Amino acid sequence: MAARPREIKLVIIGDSGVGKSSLVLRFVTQSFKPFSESTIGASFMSKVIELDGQTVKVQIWDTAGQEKYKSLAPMYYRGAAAAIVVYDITRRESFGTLQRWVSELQEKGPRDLRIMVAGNKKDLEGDRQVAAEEAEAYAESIGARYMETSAKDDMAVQDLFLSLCQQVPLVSPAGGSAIRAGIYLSGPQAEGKAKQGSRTCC
Amino acid sequence: MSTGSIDESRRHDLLLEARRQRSSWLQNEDYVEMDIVEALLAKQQKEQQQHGKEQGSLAGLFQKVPGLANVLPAAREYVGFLNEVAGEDDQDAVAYDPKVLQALSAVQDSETRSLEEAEAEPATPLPDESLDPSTPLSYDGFIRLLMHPGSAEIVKSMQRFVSAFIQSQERRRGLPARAPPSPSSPRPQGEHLHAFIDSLRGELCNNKVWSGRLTAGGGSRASGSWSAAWEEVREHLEKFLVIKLHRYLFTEAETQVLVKEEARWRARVQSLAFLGPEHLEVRSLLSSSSVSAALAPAILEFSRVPAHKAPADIMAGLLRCSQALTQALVSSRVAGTGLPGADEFLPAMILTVKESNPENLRWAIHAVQRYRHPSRLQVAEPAYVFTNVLSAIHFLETADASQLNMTPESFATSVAACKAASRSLSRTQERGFMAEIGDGEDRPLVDLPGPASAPLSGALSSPLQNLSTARGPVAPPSTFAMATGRAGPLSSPLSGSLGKKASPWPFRSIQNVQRERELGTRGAPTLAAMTPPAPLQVAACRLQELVKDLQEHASRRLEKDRSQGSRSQEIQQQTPLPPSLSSQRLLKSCSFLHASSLDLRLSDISALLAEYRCLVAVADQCLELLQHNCK
Repeated sequence: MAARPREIKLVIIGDSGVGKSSLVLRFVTQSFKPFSESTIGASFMSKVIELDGQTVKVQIWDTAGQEKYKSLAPMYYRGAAAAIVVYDITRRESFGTLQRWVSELQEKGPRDLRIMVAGNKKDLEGDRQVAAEEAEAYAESIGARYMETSAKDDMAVQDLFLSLCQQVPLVSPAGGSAIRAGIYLSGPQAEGKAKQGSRTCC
Repeated sequence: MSTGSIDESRRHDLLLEARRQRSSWLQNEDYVEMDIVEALLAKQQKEQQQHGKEQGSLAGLFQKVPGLANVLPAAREYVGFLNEVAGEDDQDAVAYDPKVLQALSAVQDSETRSLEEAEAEPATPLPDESLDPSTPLSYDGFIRLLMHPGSAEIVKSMQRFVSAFIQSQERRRGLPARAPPSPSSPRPQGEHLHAFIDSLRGELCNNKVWSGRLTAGGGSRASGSWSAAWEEVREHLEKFLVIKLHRYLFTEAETQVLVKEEARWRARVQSLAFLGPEHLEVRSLLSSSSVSAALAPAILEFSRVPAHKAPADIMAGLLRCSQALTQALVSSRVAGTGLPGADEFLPAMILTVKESNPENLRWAIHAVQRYRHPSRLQVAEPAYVFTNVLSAIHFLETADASQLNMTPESFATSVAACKAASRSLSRTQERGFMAEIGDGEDRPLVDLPGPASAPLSGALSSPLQNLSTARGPVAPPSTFAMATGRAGPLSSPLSGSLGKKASPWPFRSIQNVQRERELGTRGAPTLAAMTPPAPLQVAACRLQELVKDLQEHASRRLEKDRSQGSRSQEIQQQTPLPPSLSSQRLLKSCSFLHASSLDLRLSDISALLAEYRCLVAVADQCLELLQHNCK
């Protein structure tokens, strides 16, 4: 009988400054149980949630959003079951970056990865540069869901994380965890050597 | 040798011997027990003389000595070392016939099997750890459980595994290296290890010493307790076996690849010495006046990581480093921003790796990748931290000008300047340092007999461990470990399997300290301004610990001698140690402390002293530099 995984690895991806760690902090701290798991700041946090009466531990792996670290991202999303890609609705540029992240995620990420597109900083509606419809259409084109959030005003943050975890496919009880595959020193692209060869020029 | 032919006294002897051997196997990191072997050989010879039997061949002799099979690889190394000392370079001279090896392990097995019944007899009470399964099992508690006579069978399985593992690694000797491991070349050795550990589970559950902890009915812990209890035991088994096998974790060919990789990596990092927060876009550190000062605790933690042998300990060390890193980021963050996220954590980790650039880092990382239980590589905070370390290493290996916010020209210039600085350094470094070492060579070591003093040995170990990255090649490879059966902080994981071809360990601290000096005085002043003196900070931290320990020893010693009214004047001259102490005086006090306070053998003393001389040389240079900087 298939069941929910006991642990979900969730990566959070997006341009520097879009509010990735604010979203994580908001999600993790807003509950009766204070977050006690993390000792290394907001870059790694975990939270126990309840889905259909079953407790699931969500591990949230933050990734560095600066362009220069983009090539390292595959090391982080290896073994992930879910990903939140975030952009800032007041910065069109961050929406462009998001699309590049997503195409890479689809190319190199785990097969069953569930993706959620999040437009953050909804509280700054006046400065909006990306229309909700545009982002929604994009999300649909990649088979993902779209939500607009505000980490500052706590809008839709819980919903964002919970509905994403809800989508994570069930596993056979023997597996127990949605986390798989190892991590290796040989670099982020070692998994697909053929691919790597054709990519080095660009 | 059949059970029936053993008479009562022989049986008793063997039983005691087996027990003694087992407990020393469990308690010593290296599984070499020279003392026991020597004692047994002596006993054997005596018996043979008594019975008027003629001396057997080498193989015959081995067959009569239980446990000798275990000792052979180490004995081979020992002979290799002696050959080296004698200036001979004949590898074949110490090769043993594999048939002899096989015969030996067969003999050992049959002999120990004959003792199984005897082992089961005595009703030794179970240790506390076995009786109270509700408390977490510490590593020491785990060893105590293994020491119990009831665990004899388990230990034998482990010993058989260790021998088999070593033999299989030896068989791979001639094969081309496949390091570094990657997803395309899986980790058969690690899988082998964990398959063995898993196979022990059934045996443990049926063993009266262990069943209380491991079976569902035994514990009062919360649900899932018995699988948690097994994970705990599995973790300890992994640690124990990896430490036992630490010289054989990689084949010789792989080790050579690793050494090359390590050298390339260290050179690369040295050539990136100019990297600062502005190149890596780490906002919270941009405003900090000295990055290396802000990150010093994290750098120190990171530089200690490769001193660990067990993958779990290496990962725990990386976690401690990350916690120190987070602390630094939190305290230097701009007001109003939240907890630091990955945007700052990763670049800060890159700076930490670059600044500490410890020896054996590649070895430690590969050991984790190959031998850490797969589930521990994928989940939770330690796995996240490990991924960040891998990312940092990958970034430092591959970063180009555009990734560092530089033009290709200025990148090339900076790299060339750093390379030139480290080249000129490596030319001058060895000569100067060896001169300093040689300086104290003729000092008397053992002419100051004194009472054994217990507190010293414990206190001594701390600076030795803390300063383990400053180890130098003056200590003969592993003689200390050979003589005492202890590997301790003195032996480098690679030195054992590589012999003299290895010793690729430069004096990191000195090297870096000298780099600072060169950059500061002769070299490019702009570069010096850009390069934060992190090694200096780290060395200063260590130096403080060292000096504090030495002062404590000295004053304790002084107290003791005052009450005894002896030699107090000599000590008074040496204590308290002034901050401007010369290496001569430190050396003198070191050798005095060693020789007079510990009842050590000459070889122990010289090994310790050699280590200490390295430390002292480092300490001295740091002091000079600190004074220089204060001006």
